[in-house]
Amino acid sequence: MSPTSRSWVRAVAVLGVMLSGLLILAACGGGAAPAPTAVAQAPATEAAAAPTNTSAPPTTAPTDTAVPPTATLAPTETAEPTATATEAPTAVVIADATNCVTCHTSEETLQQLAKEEAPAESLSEGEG
Amino acid sequence: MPPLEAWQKVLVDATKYVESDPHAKVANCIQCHGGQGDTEDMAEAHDGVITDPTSTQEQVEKICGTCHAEVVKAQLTSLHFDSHGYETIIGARLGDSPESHAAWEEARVNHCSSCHTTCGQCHVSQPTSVGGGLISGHQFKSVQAFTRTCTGCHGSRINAEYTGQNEGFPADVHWTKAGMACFKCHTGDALHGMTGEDGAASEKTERYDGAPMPACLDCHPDSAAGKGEIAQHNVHGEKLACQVCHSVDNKNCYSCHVQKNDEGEAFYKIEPSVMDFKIGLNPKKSDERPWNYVVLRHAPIDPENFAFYGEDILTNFDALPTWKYATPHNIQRVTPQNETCDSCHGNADIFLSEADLRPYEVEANKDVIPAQLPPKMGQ
Repeated sequence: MSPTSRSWVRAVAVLGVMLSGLLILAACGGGAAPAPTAVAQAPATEAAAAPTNTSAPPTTAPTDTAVPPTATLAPTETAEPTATATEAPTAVVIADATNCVTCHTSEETLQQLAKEEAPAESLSEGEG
Repeated sequence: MPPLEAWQKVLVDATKYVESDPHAKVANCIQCHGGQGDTEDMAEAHDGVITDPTSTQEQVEKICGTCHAEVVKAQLTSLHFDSHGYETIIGARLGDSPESHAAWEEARVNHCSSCHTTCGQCHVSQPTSVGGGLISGHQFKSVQAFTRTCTGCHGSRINAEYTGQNEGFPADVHWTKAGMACFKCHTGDALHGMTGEDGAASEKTERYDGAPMPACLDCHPDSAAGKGEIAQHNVHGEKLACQVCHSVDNKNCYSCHVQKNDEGEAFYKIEPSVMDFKIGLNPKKSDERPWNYVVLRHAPIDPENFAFYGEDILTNFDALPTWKYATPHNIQRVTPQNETCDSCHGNADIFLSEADLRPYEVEANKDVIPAQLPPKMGQ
Protein backbone atom coordinates (compact mmCIF):
# COMPACT_ATOMS: atom_id res chain seq x y z
CA MET A 1 0.00 0.00 0.00
CA SER A 2 1.34 3.35 -1.01
CA PRO A 3 1.62 6.17 1.54
CA THR A 4 -1.16 8.07 -0.29
CA SER A 5 -3.58 5.17 -0.01
CA ARG A 6 -2.75 4.75 3.68
CA SER A 7 -3.63 8.35 4.62
CA TRP A 8 -6.86 8.16 2.64
CA VAL A 9 -7.96 5.13 4.63
CA ARG A 10 -7.04 6.91 7.90
CA ALA A 11 -9.22 9.96 7.01
CA VAL A 12 -12.24 7.82 6.18
CA ALA A 13 -11.88 6.04 9.52
CA VAL A 14 -11.80 9.28 11.53
CA LEU A 15 -14.88 10.58 9.70
CA GLY A 16 -16.71 7.37 10.47
CA VAL A 17 -15.97 7.64 14.17
CA MET A 18 -17.29 11.26 14.24
CA LEU A 19 -20.52 10.32 12.45
CA SER A 20 -21.05 7.43 14.84
CA GLY A 21 -20.68 9.76 17.81
CA LEU A 22 -23.28 12.19 16.46
CA LEU A 23 -25.72 9.36 15.82
CA ILE A 24 -25.35 8.14 19.41
CA LEU A 25 -25.98 11.63 20.84
CA ALA A 26 -29.09 12.09 18.69
CA ALA A 27 -30.46 8.75 19.74
CA CYS A 28 -30.11 9.68 23.44
CA GLY A 29 -32.35 12.80 22.97
CA GLY A 30 -29.65 15.12 24.24
CA GLY A 31 -28.64 18.39 22.67
CA ALA A 32 -26.39 21.24 23.50
CA ALA A 33 -28.99 23.97 22.88
CA PRO A 34 -31.87 23.19 25.35
CA ALA A 35 -29.63 22.85 28.37
CA PRO A 36 -28.76 26.61 28.72
CA THR A 37 -32.45 27.56 28.37
CA ALA A 38 -33.35 25.47 31.36
CA VAL A 39 -30.60 27.03 33.41
CA ALA A 40 -31.63 30.57 32.50
CA GLN A 41 -35.30 30.06 33.36
CA ALA A 42 -34.71 28.94 36.88
CA PRO A 43 -33.25 32.18 38.29
CA ALA A 44 -35.88 34.28 36.45
CA THR A 45 -38.70 32.45 38.17
CA GLU A 46 -37.11 32.95 41.55
CA ALA A 47 -36.65 36.65 40.95
CA ALA A 48 -40.30 37.15 40.01
CA ALA A 49 -41.42 35.33 43.08
CA ALA A 50 -39.26 37.33 45.42
CA PRO A 51 -41.34 40.56 45.55
CA THR A 52 -44.47 38.73 46.55
CA ASN A 53 -42.62 37.07 49.38
CA THR A 54 -42.42 40.17 51.51
CA SER A 55 -41.58 38.14 54.58
CA ALA A 56 -38.25 37.05 53.09
CA PRO A 57 -35.61 39.09 54.87
CA PRO A 58 -33.33 40.97 52.54
CA THR A 59 -30.34 39.40 54.19
CA THR A 60 -31.15 36.06 52.61
CA ALA A 61 -30.69 37.46 49.15
CA PRO A 62 -26.91 37.70 49.15
CA THR A 63 -26.63 34.07 50.22
CA ASP A 64 -28.99 33.01 47.44
CA THR A 65 -26.80 33.42 44.43
CA ALA A 66 -29.70 32.61 42.09
CA VAL A 67 -31.46 35.88 43.02
CA PRO A 68 -30.03 39.02 41.41
CA PRO A 69 -29.00 41.81 43.82
CA THR A 70 -31.78 44.04 42.58
CA ALA A 71 -34.32 41.68 44.00
CA THR A 72 -33.61 43.03 47.46
CA LEU A 73 -35.29 46.33 46.40
CA ALA A 74 -38.41 44.64 45.23
CA PRO A 75 -40.33 44.57 48.54
CA THR A 76 -39.90 48.32 48.93
CA GLU A 77 -41.14 48.98 45.41
CA THR A 78 -44.24 46.89 45.82
CA ALA A 79 -45.13 48.55 49.11
CA GLU A 80 -45.72 51.98 47.51
CA PRO A 81 -48.28 51.01 44.87
CA THR A 82 -50.10 48.99 47.50
CA ALA A 83 -50.44 52.05 49.73
CA THR A 84 -51.72 54.19 46.86
CA ALA A 85 -54.23 51.61 45.89
CA THR A 86 -55.76 51.55 49.35
CA GLU A 87 -56.17 55.38 49.38
CA ALA A 88 -57.77 55.75 45.98
CA PRO A 89 -61.21 54.30 46.77
CA THR A 90 -61.56 56.68 49.72
CA ALA A 91 -60.83 59.74 47.56
CA VAL A 92 -63.34 58.99 44.84
CA VAL A 93 -66.35 58.43 47.08
CA ILE A 94 -68.88 61.00 45.88
CA ALA A 95 -71.92 61.88 47.93
CA ASP A 96 -75.20 61.33 46.14
CA ALA A 97 -76.74 64.70 45.25
CA THR A 98 -79.96 63.34 43.80
CA ASN A 99 -82.04 64.86 46.59
CA CYS A 100 -80.49 68.27 46.00
CA VAL A 101 -81.36 68.21 42.32
CA THR A 102 -84.86 66.85 42.88
CA CYS A 103 -85.76 69.66 45.24
CA HIS A 104 -83.91 72.56 43.63
CA THR A 105 -85.29 71.90 40.15
CA SER A 106 -88.88 71.85 41.39
CA GLU A 107 -90.44 75.27 41.30
CA GLU A 108 -93.46 74.00 43.21
CA THR A 109 -91.38 72.48 46.01
CA LEU A 110 -89.22 75.56 46.37
CA GLN A 111 -92.23 77.85 46.50
CA GLN A 112 -93.51 75.81 49.44
CA LEU A 113 -90.23 75.49 51.29
CA ALA A 114 -87.97 78.42 50.47
CA LYS A 115 -88.25 81.25 52.92
CA GLU A 116 -86.47 84.55 52.75
CA GLU A 117 -84.42 85.25 55.81
CA ALA A 118 -85.92 88.23 57.55
CA PRO A 119 -83.85 91.14 56.26
CA ALA A 120 -82.10 92.94 59.04
CA GLU A 121 -83.34 96.48 59.41
CA SER A 122 -80.69 98.58 57.76
CA LEU A 123 -79.24 101.26 59.94
CA SER A 124 -77.32 102.79 57.09
CA GLU A 125 -78.35 106.12 55.65
CA GLY A 126 -77.64 107.43 52.19
CA GLU A 127 -76.33 105.90 49.00
CA GLY A 128 -73.67 103.25 49.31
CA MET B 1 -81.37 95.13 40.42
CA PRO B 2 -84.74 93.34 40.16
CA PRO B 3 -85.92 91.78 43.44
CA LEU B 4 -86.12 87.99 43.51
CA GLU B 5 -88.41 85.80 45.61
CA ALA B 6 -86.65 83.38 47.94
CA TRP B 7 -87.55 80.41 45.75
CA GLN B 8 -86.34 82.14 42.60
CA LYS B 9 -82.92 82.67 44.13
CA VAL B 10 -82.31 78.93 44.53
CA LEU B 11 -84.18 77.47 41.55
CA VAL B 12 -81.88 75.33 39.41
CA ASP B 13 -82.88 74.85 35.77
CA ALA B 14 -82.92 71.15 34.96
CA THR B 15 -82.44 71.71 31.24
CA LYS B 16 -80.01 74.61 31.21
CA TYR B 17 -77.85 73.38 34.05
CA VAL B 18 -78.33 69.78 35.16
CA GLU B 19 -78.63 68.32 31.67
CA SER B 20 -76.55 70.73 29.63
CA ASP B 21 -73.97 72.71 31.55
CA PRO B 22 -70.49 71.19 31.39
CA HIS B 23 -69.89 72.13 35.02
CA ALA B 24 -72.68 69.79 36.06
CA LYS B 25 -70.80 66.95 34.38
CA VAL B 26 -67.63 67.34 36.42
CA ALA B 27 -69.04 67.96 39.89
CA ASN B 28 -72.34 67.48 41.68
CA CYS B 29 -74.02 69.88 44.09
CA ILE B 30 -72.34 68.53 47.21
CA GLN B 31 -68.85 68.54 45.76
CA CYS B 32 -68.95 72.32 45.45
CA HIS B 33 -71.54 73.44 48.01
CA GLY B 34 -71.18 70.81 50.73
CA GLY B 35 -74.30 69.70 52.59
CA GLN B 36 -75.68 66.21 53.15
CA GLY B 37 -77.06 63.99 50.41
CA ASP B 38 -78.30 61.01 52.36
CA THR B 39 -81.30 62.66 53.98
CA GLU B 40 -84.67 64.01 52.93
CA ASP B 41 -84.85 66.40 55.85
CA MET B 42 -84.33 69.93 54.57
CA ALA B 43 -82.45 71.22 57.60
CA GLU B 44 -80.13 68.23 57.72
CA ALA B 45 -79.54 68.38 53.99
CA HIS B 46 -78.37 71.99 54.30
CA ASP B 47 -76.06 71.34 57.22
CA GLY B 48 -72.68 72.70 56.20
CA VAL B 49 -73.86 74.20 52.92
CA ILE B 50 -71.67 76.94 51.44
CA THR B 51 -73.81 79.30 49.41
CA ASP B 52 -70.93 80.77 47.42
CA PRO B 53 -68.18 78.17 47.18
CA THR B 54 -65.89 80.57 45.33
CA SER B 55 -65.56 83.15 48.09
CA THR B 56 -62.18 82.05 49.42
CA GLN B 57 -58.83 81.65 47.69
CA GLU B 58 -58.56 78.01 48.75
CA GLN B 59 -61.96 77.15 47.34
CA VAL B 60 -61.41 79.06 44.10
CA GLU B 61 -58.15 77.24 43.46
CA LYS B 62 -59.74 73.89 44.24
CA ILE B 63 -63.01 74.30 42.38
CA CYS B 64 -62.29 76.65 39.47
CA GLY B 65 -58.53 76.38 39.21
CA THR B 66 -58.53 72.81 38.00
CA CYS B 67 -59.76 73.89 34.57
CA HIS B 68 -59.28 77.68 34.60
CA ALA B 69 -55.85 77.93 36.16
CA GLU B 70 -54.63 81.07 34.38
CA VAL B 71 -57.78 83.03 35.06
CA VAL B 72 -57.84 81.97 38.70
CA LYS B 73 -54.21 82.90 39.20
CA ALA B 74 -54.86 86.46 38.04
CA GLN B 75 -58.30 86.80 39.57
CA LEU B 76 -57.10 86.00 43.08
CA THR B 77 -54.87 89.09 43.08
CA SER B 78 -57.26 91.33 41.15
CA LEU B 79 -58.92 94.46 42.48
CA HIS B 80 -62.26 92.75 42.03
CA PHE B 81 -61.43 89.78 44.22
CA ASP B 82 -59.55 91.27 47.17
CA SER B 83 -60.49 94.96 46.89
CA HIS B 84 -56.92 96.02 47.55
CA GLY B 85 -57.66 99.38 45.97
CA TYR B 86 -59.10 100.36 49.35
CA GLU B 87 -55.80 99.51 50.97
CA THR B 88 -53.96 101.70 48.50
CA ILE B 89 -56.15 104.76 48.81
CA ILE B 90 -57.09 104.65 52.49
CA GLY B 91 -53.61 103.38 53.32
CA ALA B 92 -52.06 106.53 51.84
CA ARG B 93 -54.00 108.68 54.32
CA LEU B 94 -53.25 106.60 57.42
CA GLY B 95 -50.79 107.83 59.96
CA ASP B 96 -47.61 106.01 60.78
CA SER B 97 -48.78 104.74 64.15
CA PRO B 98 -49.63 101.07 64.54
CA GLU B 99 -52.86 102.16 66.24
CA SER B 100 -54.16 103.89 63.12
CA HIS B 101 -53.37 100.85 60.97
CA ALA B 102 -55.03 98.51 63.46
CA ALA B 103 -58.12 100.71 63.63
CA TRP B 104 -58.37 100.85 59.84
CA GLU B 105 -57.98 97.10 59.61
CA GLU B 106 -60.88 96.60 62.00
CA ALA B 107 -63.02 99.05 60.03
CA ARG B 108 -62.05 97.44 56.73
CA VAL B 109 -63.11 93.99 57.92
CA ASN B 110 -66.41 95.30 59.27
CA HIS B 111 -67.38 97.60 56.41
CA CYS B 112 -65.35 96.94 53.28
CA SER B 113 -64.39 93.27 53.12
CA SER B 114 -67.85 92.08 52.06
CA CYS B 115 -67.63 94.18 48.91
CA HIS B 116 -65.61 91.92 46.65
CA THR B 117 -66.40 89.83 43.64
CA THR B 118 -66.12 86.07 43.51
CA CYS B 119 -66.22 83.84 40.42
CA GLY B 120 -69.77 82.81 41.23
CA GLN B 121 -71.06 86.33 41.80
CA CYS B 122 -70.33 87.25 38.18
CA HIS B 123 -70.80 83.97 36.32
CA VAL B 124 -73.64 82.26 38.23
CA SER B 125 -75.50 84.53 40.62
CA GLN B 126 -76.23 88.12 41.51
CA PRO B 127 -73.76 89.70 43.92
CA THR B 128 -74.25 88.85 47.58
CA SER B 129 -74.27 92.55 48.40
CA VAL B 130 -77.66 92.86 46.69
CA GLY B 131 -79.11 89.67 48.14
CA GLY B 132 -77.65 87.14 45.71
CA GLY B 133 -79.84 84.72 43.75
CA LEU B 134 -79.17 82.46 40.77
CA ILE B 135 -79.41 84.28 37.45
CA SER B 136 -79.91 81.64 34.77
CA GLY B 137 -80.93 78.62 36.81
CA HIS B 138 -77.30 78.05 37.87
CA GLN B 139 -76.12 77.96 34.25
CA PHE B 140 -72.54 79.19 34.10
CA LYS B 141 -72.13 82.00 31.57
CA SER B 142 -68.94 83.77 30.67
CA VAL B 143 -71.07 86.89 30.34
CA GLN B 144 -74.25 87.31 32.36
CA ALA B 145 -76.51 90.33 31.98
CA PHE B 146 -74.71 93.38 33.37
CA THR B 147 -77.96 94.49 34.96
CA ARG B 148 -77.78 91.38 37.16
CA THR B 149 -74.07 91.51 37.96
CA CYS B 150 -72.00 94.69 37.41
CA THR B 151 -74.66 97.14 38.46
CA GLY B 152 -75.25 95.29 41.71
CA CYS B 153 -72.04 96.86 42.97
CA HIS B 154 -71.50 99.72 40.54
CA GLY B 155 -75.05 101.00 40.74
CA SER B 156 -75.41 104.30 42.53
CA ARG B 157 -72.84 106.17 40.48
CA ILE B 158 -71.86 104.28 37.32
CA ASN B 159 -75.15 102.61 36.46
CA ALA B 160 -77.26 105.65 37.33
CA GLU B 161 -75.09 107.85 35.15
CA TYR B 162 -74.73 105.39 32.29
CA THR B 163 -78.42 104.57 31.98
CA GLY B 164 -79.69 108.09 32.71
CA GLN B 165 -81.32 107.51 36.09
CA ASN B 166 -80.26 110.88 37.49
CA GLU B 167 -83.21 113.11 36.88
CA GLY B 168 -82.45 115.88 34.45
CA PHE B 169 -79.22 114.34 33.18
CA PRO B 170 -78.90 112.28 30.01
CA ALA B 171 -77.75 108.68 29.74
CA ASP B 172 -74.42 107.87 28.15
CA VAL B 173 -74.42 107.93 24.34
CA HIS B 174 -72.87 104.48 24.27
CA TRP B 175 -76.04 103.27 25.96
CA THR B 176 -78.67 105.35 24.21
CA LYS B 177 -77.25 105.01 20.70
CA ALA B 178 -75.54 101.64 20.80
CA GLY B 179 -76.99 99.82 23.82
CA MET B 180 -73.50 98.80 24.81
CA ALA B 181 -73.21 96.61 27.89
CA CYS B 182 -70.28 97.02 30.26
CA PHE B 183 -68.42 94.09 28.69
CA LYS B 184 -68.18 95.84 25.32
CA CYS B 185 -65.47 98.05 26.77
CA HIS B 186 -64.43 96.25 29.93
CA THR B 187 -63.07 92.96 28.66
CA GLY B 188 -62.80 89.69 30.53
CA ASP B 189 -59.03 90.03 30.71
CA ALA B 190 -59.33 93.41 32.39
CA LEU B 191 -62.09 92.29 34.74
CA HIS B 192 -60.04 89.25 35.79
CA GLY B 193 -56.93 91.35 36.22
CA MET B 194 -55.14 89.58 33.36
CA THR B 195 -53.63 92.71 31.91
CA GLY B 196 -50.00 91.87 32.54
CA GLU B 197 -47.69 90.59 29.85
CA ASP B 198 -49.16 87.63 27.95
CA GLY B 199 -52.28 87.67 30.08
CA ALA B 200 -50.43 87.46 33.38
CA ALA B 201 -51.84 89.01 36.52
CA SER B 202 -51.65 92.79 36.54
CA GLU B 203 -50.07 94.64 39.40
CA LYS B 204 -52.59 97.46 39.58
CA THR B 205 -52.64 99.07 43.00
CA GLU B 206 -55.95 100.83 42.36
CA ARG B 207 -58.27 101.20 39.42
CA TYR B 208 -56.59 104.22 37.83
CA ASP B 209 -53.10 102.78 38.22
CA GLY B 210 -51.31 102.40 34.88
CA ALA B 211 -52.77 102.96 31.43
CA PRO B 212 -56.48 103.62 30.90
CA MET B 213 -58.37 100.41 30.32
CA PRO B 214 -60.26 100.85 28.15
CA ALA B 215 -59.04 104.03 26.48
CA CYS B 216 -61.45 106.12 24.39
CA LEU B 217 -58.92 106.14 21.57
CA ASP B 218 -59.06 102.36 21.35
CA CYS B 219 -62.34 102.77 19.47
CA HIS B 220 -62.00 106.39 18.39
CA PRO B 221 -58.44 106.67 17.01
CA ASP B 222 -59.44 109.57 14.75
CA SER B 223 -60.12 111.67 17.82
CA ALA B 224 -56.45 111.85 18.70
CA ALA B 225 -54.75 115.16 18.00
CA GLY B 226 -53.68 115.35 14.37
CA LYS B 227 -55.50 112.18 13.40
CA GLY B 228 -58.84 113.63 12.36
CA GLU B 229 -60.61 116.71 11.07
CA ILE B 230 -62.29 117.93 14.25
CA ALA B 231 -60.57 121.22 15.04
CA GLN B 232 -61.18 121.05 18.80
CA HIS B 233 -59.46 117.67 19.03
CA ASN B 234 -56.47 118.94 17.12
CA VAL B 235 -56.25 122.15 19.14
CA HIS B 236 -56.51 120.63 22.60
CA GLY B 237 -54.45 117.53 21.90
CA GLU B 238 -53.38 115.82 25.07
CA LYS B 239 -54.11 118.80 27.27
CA LEU B 240 -57.60 117.52 28.09
CA ALA B 241 -58.97 114.14 29.01
CA CYS B 242 -61.88 113.22 26.74
CA GLN B 243 -64.37 113.49 29.64
CA VAL B 244 -63.54 117.17 30.17
CA CYS B 245 -65.45 118.03 27.01
CA HIS B 246 -67.75 115.00 26.70
CA SER B 247 -69.15 114.17 30.16
CA VAL B 248 -71.76 115.99 32.18
CA ASP B 249 -72.82 116.40 35.83
CA ASN B 250 -71.99 113.38 37.91
CA LYS B 251 -72.65 112.16 41.41
CA ASN B 252 -70.42 113.42 44.22
CA CYS B 253 -70.48 112.03 47.76
CA TYR B 254 -69.45 113.51 51.09
CA SER B 255 -68.58 112.28 54.56
CA CYS B 256 -69.31 108.60 54.87
CA HIS B 257 -69.04 107.67 58.54
CA VAL B 258 -68.87 104.00 59.42
CA GLN B 259 -69.76 102.57 62.82
CA LYS B 260 -71.41 99.69 64.68
CA ASN B 261 -74.39 99.65 67.01
CA ASP B 262 -74.55 98.00 70.44
CA GLU B 263 -75.49 94.70 68.82
CA GLY B 264 -72.37 94.78 66.66
CA GLU B 265 -74.17 95.56 63.41
CA ALA B 266 -72.03 97.52 61.00
CA PHE B 267 -73.60 100.49 59.24
CA TYR B 268 -72.75 103.81 57.64
CA LYS B 269 -74.17 107.27 57.35
CA ILE B 270 -73.43 109.42 54.37
CA GLU B 271 -74.58 112.87 53.37
CA PRO B 272 -76.96 113.12 50.41
CA SER B 273 -75.03 112.95 47.15
CA VAL B 274 -74.77 116.01 44.93
CA MET B 275 -74.82 116.24 41.13
CA ASP B 276 -71.98 118.46 40.07
CA PHE B 277 -69.39 118.92 37.34
CA LYS B 278 -65.88 120.06 38.13
CA ILE B 279 -62.75 120.20 36.03
CA GLY B 280 -59.39 120.25 37.79
CA LEU B 281 -55.72 119.53 37.33
CA ASN B 282 -54.80 115.91 36.73
CA PRO B 283 -53.75 114.24 40.01
CA LYS B 284 -52.70 111.08 38.13
CA LYS B 285 -50.57 112.72 35.45
CA SER B 286 -48.18 110.30 33.78
CA ASP B 287 -47.01 109.24 30.34
CA GLU B 288 -50.08 107.01 30.20
CA ARG B 289 -52.46 109.73 31.46
CA PRO B 290 -50.79 112.88 30.14
CA TRP B 291 -53.70 115.33 30.33
CA ASN B 292 -53.40 118.64 32.15
CA TYR B 293 -57.10 118.79 32.93
CA VAL B 294 -59.46 115.99 33.95
CA VAL B 295 -62.92 115.67 35.47
CA LEU B 296 -62.85 115.39 39.26
CA ARG B 297 -65.37 113.67 41.50
CA HIS B 298 -65.66 114.18 45.26
CA ALA B 299 -64.94 111.00 47.24
CA PRO B 300 -66.92 110.42 50.45
CA ILE B 301 -63.78 110.81 52.54
CA ASP B 302 -63.37 113.13 55.50
CA PRO B 303 -60.98 113.12 58.47
CA GLU B 304 -63.59 111.56 60.75
CA ASN B 305 -64.67 108.65 58.50
CA PHE B 306 -63.32 106.08 60.94
CA ALA B 307 -63.63 108.04 64.18
CA PHE B 308 -65.75 105.24 65.65
CA TYR B 309 -62.65 103.05 65.61
CA GLY B 310 -60.21 105.52 67.10
CA GLU B 311 -58.89 109.05 67.15
CA ASP B 312 -56.66 110.53 64.48
CA ILE B 313 -56.65 107.54 62.22
CA LEU B 314 -56.26 109.56 59.02
CA THR B 315 -53.39 111.71 60.19
CA ASN B 316 -51.98 111.75 56.66
CA PHE B 317 -55.32 112.94 55.29
CA ASP B 318 -53.78 115.46 52.89
CA ALA B 319 -51.77 112.83 51.03
CA LEU B 320 -54.45 112.60 48.33
CA PRO B 321 -57.04 115.08 47.05
CA THR B 322 -60.64 114.59 48.14
CA TRP B 323 -61.64 115.59 44.61
CA LYS B 324 -60.32 112.56 42.80
CA TYR B 325 -59.57 111.63 39.20
CA ALA B 326 -62.81 110.48 37.60
CA THR B 327 -64.18 109.02 34.39
CA PRO B 328 -67.94 109.64 34.51
CA HIS B 329 -69.98 107.22 32.43
CA ASN B 330 -72.31 109.78 30.89
CA ILE B 331 -70.53 110.65 27.65
CA GLN B 332 -72.27 113.02 25.22
CA ARG B 333 -71.17 114.37 21.88
CA VAL B 334 -72.45 117.84 22.79
CA THR B 335 -72.26 119.07 26.37
CA PRO B 336 -72.87 122.40 28.10
CA GLN B 337 -69.10 123.04 28.28
CA ASN B 338 -68.30 122.24 24.64
CA GLU B 339 -71.08 124.21 22.91
CA THR B 340 -68.77 127.18 22.37
CA CYS B 341 -65.19 128.00 23.31
CA ASP B 342 -66.31 130.31 26.10
CA SER B 343 -68.68 127.74 27.50
CA CYS B 344 -65.51 126.42 29.06
CA HIS B 345 -62.83 129.09 28.72
CA GLY B 346 -63.16 131.52 31.59
CA ASN B 347 -66.17 129.68 33.05
CA ALA B 348 -65.41 129.63 36.78
CA ASP B 349 -68.46 127.51 37.56
CA ILE B 350 -67.01 124.35 36.05
CA PHE B 351 -63.47 124.57 37.38
CA LEU B 352 -62.70 123.47 40.92
CA SER B 353 -61.80 126.36 43.20
CA GLU B 354 -61.16 126.84 46.89
CA ALA B 355 -64.72 128.08 47.22
CA ASP B 356 -65.87 124.52 46.51
CA LEU B 357 -63.93 123.09 49.42
CA ARG B 358 -64.68 122.52 53.07
CA PRO B 359 -62.08 123.91 55.48
CA TYR B 360 -60.55 120.50 56.25
CA GLU B 361 -59.85 119.66 52.63
CA VAL B 362 -58.15 122.80 51.32
CA GLU B 363 -54.64 121.49 51.77
CA ALA B 364 -55.45 118.09 50.27
CA ASN B 365 -56.71 119.67 47.04
CA LYS B 366 -54.18 122.43 46.48
CA ASP B 367 -52.56 120.50 43.62
CA VAL B 368 -55.77 119.94 41.65
CA ILE B 369 -57.12 123.50 41.74
CA PRO B 370 -56.08 125.41 38.59
CA ALA B 371 -54.09 128.53 39.45
CA GLN B 372 -55.92 130.41 36.72
CA LEU B 373 -58.70 129.66 34.30
CA PRO B 374 -58.17 129.24 30.56
CA PRO B 375 -58.72 132.76 29.16
CA LYS B 376 -61.94 133.65 27.35
CA MET B 377 -61.75 133.39 23.59
CA GLY B 378 -64.57 135.78 22.74
CA GLN B 379 -66.43 133.02 20.90
